[in-house]
Amino acid sequence: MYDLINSRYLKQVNALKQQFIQNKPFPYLILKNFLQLDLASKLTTALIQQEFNDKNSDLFQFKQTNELKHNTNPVMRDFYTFFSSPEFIDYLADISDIKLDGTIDMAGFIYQPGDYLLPHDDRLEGRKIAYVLNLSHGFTAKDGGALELFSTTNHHPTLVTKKIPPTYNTLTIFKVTPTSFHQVHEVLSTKSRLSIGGWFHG
Amino acid sequence: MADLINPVYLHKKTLEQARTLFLNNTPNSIQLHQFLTQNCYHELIKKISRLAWKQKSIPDLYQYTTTKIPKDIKTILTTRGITTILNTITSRETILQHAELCCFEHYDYTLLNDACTKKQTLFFELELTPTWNLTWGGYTSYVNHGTELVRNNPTPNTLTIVQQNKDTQHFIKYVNHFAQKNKRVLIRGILTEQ
Repeated sequence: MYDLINSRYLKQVNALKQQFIQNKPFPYLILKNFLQLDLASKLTTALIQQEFNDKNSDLFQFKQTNELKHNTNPVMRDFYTFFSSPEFIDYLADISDIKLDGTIDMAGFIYQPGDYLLPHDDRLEGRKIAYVLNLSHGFTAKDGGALELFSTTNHHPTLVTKKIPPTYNTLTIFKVTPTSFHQVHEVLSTKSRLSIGGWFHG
Repeated sequence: MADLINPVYLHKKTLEQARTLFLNNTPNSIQLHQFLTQNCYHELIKKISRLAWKQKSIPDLYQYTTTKIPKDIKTILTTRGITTILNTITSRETILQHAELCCFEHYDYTLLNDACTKKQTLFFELELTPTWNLTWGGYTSYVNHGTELVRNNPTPNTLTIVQQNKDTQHFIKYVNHFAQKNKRVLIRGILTEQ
């Protein structure tokens, strides 16, 4: 783990714990320059070679890979192994103060122009922490694609109170709760938003 | 009635054919194109363009704008002639339970949710949208456990009727930025059996 992620995140555990629990509208963390640059680059190259399938419903429109657990690409496989390792999961459990059981979901996502994910709370049995590792370059506010977090009133989302642009090699995690309403803003330009995302279970 | 409804829909034979089509579709559904006379349709459009709209938003359920249906427009919906047409096609004695005049533009949508009706319901949509492109989203999709059964693509002056059973729900697809300033305007509502 020490070779793979930015070492400052391993030294700042207490500070990250504080930040996570205090962040509003619900516990989240943004970890910029998360992976060692070489790994981020190899992961991006490996990800864009994967097969993405159209996903279309009332709630979303984007492209998604199959579960990456059994992916045969060595870079993808190694990344999955690291992300689901007891060491990394213990680290996340420590920062978040959430009991995790070691199981994770992981898939690749591409949001192309017009693609989106509408407000929802991610709650499904077992999901404790949601995560997204952004691997897109050059997104600005006018391009859309931001992860947007909502405040909640009477069990429904109300206003976007936090916008997290899809910055390259940034890991965002947040606690899945009855108020963890969020969306991915529609991609408004000609860029494509590439990421790996999923959940840690507990 | 000949001033309001396309005379084609006042003929018994047309309505009987429409009823057959309605019953043969799964789910039971029909689209009546050029439903209103051109005069009536254009008068409606003119009236609606002068109305003030208000946003309706619960982000995990819907977001769109709506306005109170003017009395004279509501009267059109409940005239005996239209009721007869609907009753003939659906083989029921129906009454207008609820109607809403709504507008969907960029960022607007409705979502499926567990609170949606779980019983047989007759939904209708009267399209007042001058022009629409499917690539903008904004269409109505009727689904059963995630499988799309019927899609209503906004076509001007078309009346769509769909009988939803307890396993069917519908939503209006998110309108994306390709729509630019275009808007989907419709009167949609529920008919119930008397």
